[in-house]
Amino acid sequence: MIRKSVLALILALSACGPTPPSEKKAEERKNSQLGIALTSEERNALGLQTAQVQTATWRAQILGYGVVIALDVVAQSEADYMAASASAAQSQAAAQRARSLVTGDEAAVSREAVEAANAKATADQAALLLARRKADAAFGLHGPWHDPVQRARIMERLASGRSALVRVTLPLGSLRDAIPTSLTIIRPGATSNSGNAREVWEAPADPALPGRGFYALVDGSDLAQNERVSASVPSGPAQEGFFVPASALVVGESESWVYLHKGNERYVRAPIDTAKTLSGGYFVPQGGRIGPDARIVTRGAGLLLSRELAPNNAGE
Amino acid sequence: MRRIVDLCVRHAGTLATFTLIAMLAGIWAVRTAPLDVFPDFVPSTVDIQTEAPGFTAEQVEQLVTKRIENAVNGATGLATIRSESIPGLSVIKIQFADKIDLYNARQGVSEKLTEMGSSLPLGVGAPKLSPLTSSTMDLLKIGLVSDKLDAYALRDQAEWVMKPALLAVPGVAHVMIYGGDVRQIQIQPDLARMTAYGFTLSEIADAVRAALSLKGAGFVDTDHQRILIQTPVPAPDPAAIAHAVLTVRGRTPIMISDIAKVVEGPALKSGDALIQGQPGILLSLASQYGANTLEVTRAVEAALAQMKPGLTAQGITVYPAIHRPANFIEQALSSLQKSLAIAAVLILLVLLLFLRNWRAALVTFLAIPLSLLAAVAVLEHMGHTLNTMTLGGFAVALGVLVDDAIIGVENVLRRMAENNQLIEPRPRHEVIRDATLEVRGPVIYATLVVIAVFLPALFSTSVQGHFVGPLALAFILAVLASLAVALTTAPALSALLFKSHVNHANHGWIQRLKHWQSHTIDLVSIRFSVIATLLSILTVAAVVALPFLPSSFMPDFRENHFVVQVYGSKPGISLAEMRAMGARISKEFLAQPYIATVSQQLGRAELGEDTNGPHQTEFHVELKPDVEVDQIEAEDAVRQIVGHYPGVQTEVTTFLGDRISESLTGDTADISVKIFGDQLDTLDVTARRVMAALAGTPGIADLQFKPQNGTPTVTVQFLPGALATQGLKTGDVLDALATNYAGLTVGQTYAGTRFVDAVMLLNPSDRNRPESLSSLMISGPLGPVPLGQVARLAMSDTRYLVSHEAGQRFDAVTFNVVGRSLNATIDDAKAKVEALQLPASTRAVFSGAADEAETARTQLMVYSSFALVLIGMLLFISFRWRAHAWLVLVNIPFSLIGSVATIALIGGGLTLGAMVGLITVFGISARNAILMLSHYEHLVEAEGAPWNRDTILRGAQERLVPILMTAAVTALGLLPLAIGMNQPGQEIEGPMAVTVLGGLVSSTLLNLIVLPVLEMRFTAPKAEAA
Repeated sequence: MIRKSVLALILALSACGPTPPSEKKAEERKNSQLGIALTSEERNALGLQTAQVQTATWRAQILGYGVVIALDVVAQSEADYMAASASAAQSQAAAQRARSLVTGDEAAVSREAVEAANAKATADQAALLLARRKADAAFGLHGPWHDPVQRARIMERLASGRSALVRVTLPLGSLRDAIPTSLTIIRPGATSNSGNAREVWEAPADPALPGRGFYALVDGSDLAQNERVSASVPSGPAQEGFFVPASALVVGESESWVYLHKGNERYVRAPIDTAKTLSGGYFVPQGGRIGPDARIVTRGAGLLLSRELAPNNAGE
Repeated sequence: MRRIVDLCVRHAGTLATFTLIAMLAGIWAVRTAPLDVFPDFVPSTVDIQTEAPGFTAEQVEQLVTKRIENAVNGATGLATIRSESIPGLSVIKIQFADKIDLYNARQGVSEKLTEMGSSLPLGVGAPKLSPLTSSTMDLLKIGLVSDKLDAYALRDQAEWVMKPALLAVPGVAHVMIYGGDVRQIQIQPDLARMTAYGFTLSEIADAVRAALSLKGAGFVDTDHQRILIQTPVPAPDPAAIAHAVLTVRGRTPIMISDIAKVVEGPALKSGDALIQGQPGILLSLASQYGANTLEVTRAVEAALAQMKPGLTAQGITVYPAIHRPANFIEQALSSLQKSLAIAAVLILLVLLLFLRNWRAALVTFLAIPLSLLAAVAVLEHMGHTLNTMTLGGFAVALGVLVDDAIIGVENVLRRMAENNQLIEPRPRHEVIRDATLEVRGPVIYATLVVIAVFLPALFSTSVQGHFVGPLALAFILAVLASLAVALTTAPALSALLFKSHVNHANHGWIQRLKHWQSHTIDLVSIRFSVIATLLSILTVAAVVALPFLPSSFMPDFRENHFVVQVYGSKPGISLAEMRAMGARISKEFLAQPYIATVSQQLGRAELGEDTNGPHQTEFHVELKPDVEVDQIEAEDAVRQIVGHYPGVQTEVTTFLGDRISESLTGDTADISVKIFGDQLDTLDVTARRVMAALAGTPGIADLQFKPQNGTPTVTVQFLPGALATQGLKTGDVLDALATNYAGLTVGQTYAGTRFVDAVMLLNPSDRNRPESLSSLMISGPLGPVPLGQVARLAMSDTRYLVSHEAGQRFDAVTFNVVGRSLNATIDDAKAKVEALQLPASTRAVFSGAADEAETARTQLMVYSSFALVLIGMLLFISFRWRAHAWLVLVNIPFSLIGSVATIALIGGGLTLGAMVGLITVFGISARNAILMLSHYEHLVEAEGAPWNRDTILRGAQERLVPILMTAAVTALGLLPLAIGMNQPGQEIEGPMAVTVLGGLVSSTLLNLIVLPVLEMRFTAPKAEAA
């Protein structure tokens, strides 16, 4: 009985307490849907201006930074690997030859010579391994780099200047474990793309730039070696929706809103997600409160919000 | 005293010469006397401003304001401490108590701040203590607009040409500039390039600092000369900074322009201005503490006149008097001077009419300017200005001044006429001396009693007291001077001007009046019970009616100027939006035929004293001086115009009304209902409930609750784990935020004597998008990281302002009272608030005019009680017949009848002026009663007259002329004031004059008719017995 009473008391107290944030938010949204009616005189006094929404397409982009790898670095790595590879092959053959000259107790070469050839072969093998690991460390474990044919192709393209290798760092966690299939490279300050990469593979992390690293082979670009660039990766499917100009945005009640002009001089707030940005404004997906016929308040929205949330309104 | 009078009479010629010299000196003193419209009625204040960049209002309140409040709380002389904490700024306003050494008190506050040392949080600036100020120190507002110059050039003119010249005018304390664009060289880092190339903000800042370094070199000494080496001064040239080297990498220099855009740009704005609805500059000048408004205004205008041709040549239109408080002073003093001049002529005519002797009239009349000039000299010496209140004090003293002179002159004439009848006449000078001294005793006591009547007004410390005190002082000084003149100059001039054979016969019409008086006294005596009952009923009715008369704390001043406050109902509205609305409002104002100029000041001026945000604006509306318009109607029209703008709360006041309210409540409205409590959210909710309850109450206008919550805010919450992973310190992130969004001044460039700050700031397109905060790159030891990775960013609503009074948080609901009695409106409002049953953690306090009026009433009650005791003592000392003292005391309330009837008839209510009028009527009535009753004592005891009806009638008849002259002179002195009641500056004197006029009628009739009857009824048998 006592426990029930205590429980009832707690429930009662909780009912009297402040509205939970989620309920408060819902209430605010409900209020915002009611909107506000203005007379034409009030509308003029507020200096309201509206604009028809424009259709737009939006796809989430992950932004990162990159640097165009200098050819000499790639070439040096390649040369080091090839040299180590050649040395290893040669010493391996020499060691094999020396070993073949020794059969049973007869030997055409001294045991010491055989041991020296073996040692040379092992050392060159180790040098080859080191060169490979260095190349792996620099250019990634899983890239086309490991395929000699691919490597030769890439080297040939890089050497000819038809492609550029860009090392891109994207924010941690932005892609989860996925490797992007394509990348867009943008020069800082440029308004248009400077190249697209179709071949992307994972790179070791750049110690100078926190994030996840990728190599991207950008074809047909005029990117210069060592050039610093920005990169973007589309994320998720493209969405159809509407463009809302930045001048329409108002922030209130802990959310971002735009005002929609409904008929009969009624203005209704609609929440928008400011994370979906477009140049000069925001993207609003289809299916929400903003439709193709919506008119957005582009001037006077601050005063309109003030009018809606005025204390005398609340008091009424 | 006898020796003094004797000396004056014997050396009349010398004294007359001295008098002439004194008059000339007095006239000179009047010409050079500091003029003002009102006495300094608001307390002196100092502000403590503390910058706390990046702190929210609540952080400023808790970490800065509270600490400073605690520190200065113990300082001596503090009357009120109010504070306002807004994002990035703490402003504490300290009002000092009255009658203290203000400079010592300010020093005390300064020492307390020094004791605090560096206990404020890091990054918070040192508290700055302002000079002593007063809220009525607004001197002049000047507007500038130009079609030719851009916003930079216009601001440059204001900042670098006009401001120094205006500050050089003696008496100008500061010049605040609103509007225009402050020129800056802005280094706008390209965050993408910065990140791409791995540069940090501090590296760029260091590079800019190095580029702008300024160092003098030495010199070369040759055998014959010393040759100086001149180094260049960094010029405000964006290209020069852009081409400065940032660093060298791989033998290749990288320039600042590789990483950042260097441009000339406007400083971030905290305020703006519109002049006549156009973007422009508003210069707001304030005078130094104690400076004379009129004098300094004229000096400023002279300086402005010198600059004007140059400004006009550049295409700048100057509006020299957007708000000119001196206009009101000039208008008020001019109309008062006209009234006094008319009064002087009328008084002279009355004197000639009554005395029919130009010599006697001249002696009597000269006593007035002499007494007034002496009083002016003393007032000026005491540091008071000549203002409408002190001049009003002189106006109400006129009757007493004339009475003093008349009593003496009339007695001299009478005694000289009697002396002429003697076979061996006494020497003239002896007759004049003795006649003068004969009447002085009662006059001195009567004067002391009148002074005692005014003492409560003199000592009152309320705002009303600040107004009435100087009036009382002027009155007291004038009557004291008059007493001195009556004992010195008047007998001397009598000796010089009066012939030996003077005729003191009364004229026919005076004889008829005396006959009428005797007849009426007899009639009243016969019907005494009826008349006494009627008078008692009327007196009781008047006393009972007093509390029910519509009251107002202070009158509505007709300043030809309105201050219109327009606040966004929700904080956070942009300057641009408020400016656009301001342009529309200005256009509507200017469409009114009687409005001359309109200016709008938005937000606050750089380093301004107020805490206005972008959503708060103030309009100054100046009416055309040559267009006849009723001020109340104009105010209503202005109120209607702003009233139909939705989304904002508005308030219309006059400048003086605004200042009075601000000094009382810290707010601009008449009444402030302050809800005190600890929980800000509870305060907001309670304030909204109070506002809803008060809405619709009759008499309440401009009802406002300025909500301080709801400021749109991006809240940054650091993620400690993410910061640690990136090797970032919170300070690094805060520095990046402050640099990019608030700007970091990294140096100065110079163009002649002007300097232009070089500031690092994010480019506007990135800075003005809230979502771009998330991608702001923060340079860390492990490389740049977007802010969104190390902090959680969320939209929220925060407070714009946290207000304190006496260290306690409060929200205020404010309103003005229009068209209804202040007391009745307050009573209704209090009842509604009490019915609300506010939360236990809050309490509502009504402050402002109501509170102050209550304080004034209480003080008046206490001081009046003391004054009554003092008057009683004086009466019992002055009269030989004790019954006379009681008769005077009983007689005083009867004088209320006429005053209250007039107040009710005019419908002005119990205003400050009316209250002063009542005091004056009490004084005059008491004085006349004392002189009448003293005369009876004199007749019986000095002249040996039998104490009977005939003596009473004779005494009454002999006092008829002085009493009538006193009444007539006072009435005519005040008549022009009463007629000009609606003139600017006569808002207090007008009702005062009307009240006195009404009171004079009843008091004069009572003194001439009823008092002799009372004397017959109550003292005659007793006196005969004695």
